[in-house]
Order: sequence, then C-alpha cells, then structure tokens
Amino acid sequence: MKHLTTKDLMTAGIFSALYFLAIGLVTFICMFTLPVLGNFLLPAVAALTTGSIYFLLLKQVPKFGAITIFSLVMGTFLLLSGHFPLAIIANLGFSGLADWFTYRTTFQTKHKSLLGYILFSYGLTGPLLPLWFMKQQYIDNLTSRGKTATYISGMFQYVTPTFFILLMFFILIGAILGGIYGQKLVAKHFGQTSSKQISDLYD
Amino acid sequence: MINIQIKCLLLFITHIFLFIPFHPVQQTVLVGLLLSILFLEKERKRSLLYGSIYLVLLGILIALPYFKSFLGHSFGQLAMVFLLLYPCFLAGSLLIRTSLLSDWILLLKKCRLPMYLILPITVMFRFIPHFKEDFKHTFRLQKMRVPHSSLFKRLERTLIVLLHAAIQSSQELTMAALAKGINQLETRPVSKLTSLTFLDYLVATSSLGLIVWRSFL
Repeated sequence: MKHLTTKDLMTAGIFSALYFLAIGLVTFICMFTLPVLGNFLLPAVAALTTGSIYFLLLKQVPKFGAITIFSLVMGTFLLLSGHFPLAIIANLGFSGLADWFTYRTTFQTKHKSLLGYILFSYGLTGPLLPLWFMKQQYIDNLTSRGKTATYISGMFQYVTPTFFILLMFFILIGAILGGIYGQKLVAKHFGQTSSKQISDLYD
Repeated sequence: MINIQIKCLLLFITHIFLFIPFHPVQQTVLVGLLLSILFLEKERKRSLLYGSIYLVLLGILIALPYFKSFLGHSFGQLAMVFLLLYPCFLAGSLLIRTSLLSDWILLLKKCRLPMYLILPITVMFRFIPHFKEDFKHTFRLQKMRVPHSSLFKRLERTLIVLLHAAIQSSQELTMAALAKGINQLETRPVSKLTSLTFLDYLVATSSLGLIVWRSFL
C-alpha cells in the first residue's frame, strides 16, 4: 500500500463517504419499499446502484490497493459504528480479490473491472452471512430466552441453502447491471476530456 | 466526558456479548448502561429514542409466537437479529456521535493503525455530513429545475453532481492537507490530555463486571 500517495488516500476517503451515503440511502429505500425482504436484497440493490462510484474511484486512483483501502475504510467504519464484526472479513476478502483481479490479471480492461466489481459487491454480504453460518449463535440466544425447539425450528425454516443461493444470484445480476450502468455513466460524464480539465485545474 | 478509549472498550465488550449466549436481563443492563452514558453525553433525545426502539424490539420478540405467516416470521426473525446486534449498534453510535475528530485520530494512532487507513477514515468522517447536506440541496434543486422528471432521473443527476463534487473536493483537500502537513501524521506533534477520570473508571468497571456476571449466571 506504500505506493499510494496522500492524494490517492484522500480520494479513497472521500469516495468512501459518498459510497457510505449511497448505501445509507439504498438501505432507507429498501426498508420502506420491501420491509422484510429489503434487508436480504440490500447487497443486490446496492450493487445495482453504486457502480458509478466504484468505477469513478477506479478511474481516479488506478492503482493496486485502492479498492482494498476503499473497502477496508468502509469495513472499519462499520466495525467502529457497531455493525457486525465479521462484516469486515467479508469486505476485506472480496475487495482484495477484486483488487487482484482488476490489476493482476490479463483480461480485457473493461471486462476485468466489471468482474472486479462483481467480486467487490459480494463484500456487502458480510452482515447477512451470520444468519446462515452462525445459526448456532442465534439458536443459543433463543434457547437462553426460553424458546422451545419447535419454535426455534419454525423460526429458521426460511434460512435455507436455496434462499442463500437465490440471494447470491440476485447480487450477481445486480452487480452486472449496476457495473455496466456505472461504466457507461462514468464514460459519459467523466470521460477523458472532462477529467483532464479537472485535473489540469489543480496540477 | 467519557474517554474515547473507554468508549472503544465498551464497543469491544458488546462484541464479546455477541459471540456468547447471554441472558436477556444482562443484555438489558448493558443497553441501560450504554443509554445512560449517551444521556450523560448530552445526546438526551437520541438516548430516549434508542431506549424506545429497544422496548419495541423486546415487545416484538415477546409477541413473536403469535406471528404465524411467512411475513410475520421473517419480521420477528429480523427483530431478533436487530436485538442481538443492538448493544453493538448503541456502543458504535456512542463512539461515533460523541467523539471529536481529533480524538478519533488519536485513537486510531494509539491503535497503531497504519497511515493508509487513518487518513481515509478521518477524511470519510469529515465528508459524510458534507455530502449529506450536498445531497439534500442538489436533490431539492433538481426537483425545482425539472419538476416532472422521474425519481430515478433525479437521483441519477444528483449522483453526477455529487461525483463531480467528490473529485473537486479530493483535489482541494489534498492541497490543504499537504500545506498543513496532515500527511505527516506520524511525526506531527499532538498535545491531548488522555488521563482517565473517575467516571471512566466507573464505566469500565461496570462493563467488565457484566462479563464477570455473565460467567457466574
């Protein structure tokens, strides 16, 4: 990460703030339009809407490590703001993969950045994964609250592998559509000329 | 009021509580402690609001056996997850809402976080309220300029404006940071009183006491 300059770090921080705001807005919309399902679909909807922020960051800081920093900042912020601690692991893992895929593979630039975005989008599944992979914690918690086994099995009848696969599929579709839209939006509004004009102003 | 290190300790303790099964009474005591600190930190309205939300979540959990439909079950399940994460959320909210940016930098430095994380995190903290305000103004402006456009179009235009603002802000901030020497956080001298008060010790002891209580119950 040492090759990232102060400007790169500042840009990552500013884009993280924007990304955080976008995620907050998406959460708000999801909660009110789809009261229950919205929470499960949040990573897919977020992937659909935040593509432009990701691709503009990629354009502004085209260096290995920028995506990881971007995601790590979000993860640390979520951790410090009391969100699920394991979320940072999913964030870090998927963003590291996205970084590696974007800068260390030899695919065509447009395609590998889209694939990188798809991987990055899976980082948002962190808060949801415990429902499937830490089921025992929830069951212990319910047992300590005096709930019966029949009641507990009824509670978890919808936390199934099929539902999990379906969610992952939705994220994939959301990331593909959001990525293509984000790439187009960045190319249209922040193309070579417009970004050069902005950077010329400050160089 | 409360030292930022103690707030961090509280966050750590709430995370411990997340991984071990605990009694609802212990959770309520922990939530009560966090709400009282929030109240003491002059976030009175927020503390009352969070207290009411906790009571509503508890109410939903009690009424859960009466929900028979899929929607009811899912709703109850979500309420349970929220309830499990609620102390963490409260400790996080306490840490974020009642700490100054300078305290944050100090805490992150004390945690020995690398420079490439401290800088973006502090920038992020600084810019979240800025973009929030920008979003509100731009969104309203779009409504006034093109009143019959769809919500999607309005959101897209607002996003483009915000993205332009982000690029400009990053350039300006870099120049300001370089001029002020913020990029040299490791060598920059900082004077800050970090000693713990009686209240800090009291909060730390009570929160650690909760863990002892948990191991005996």
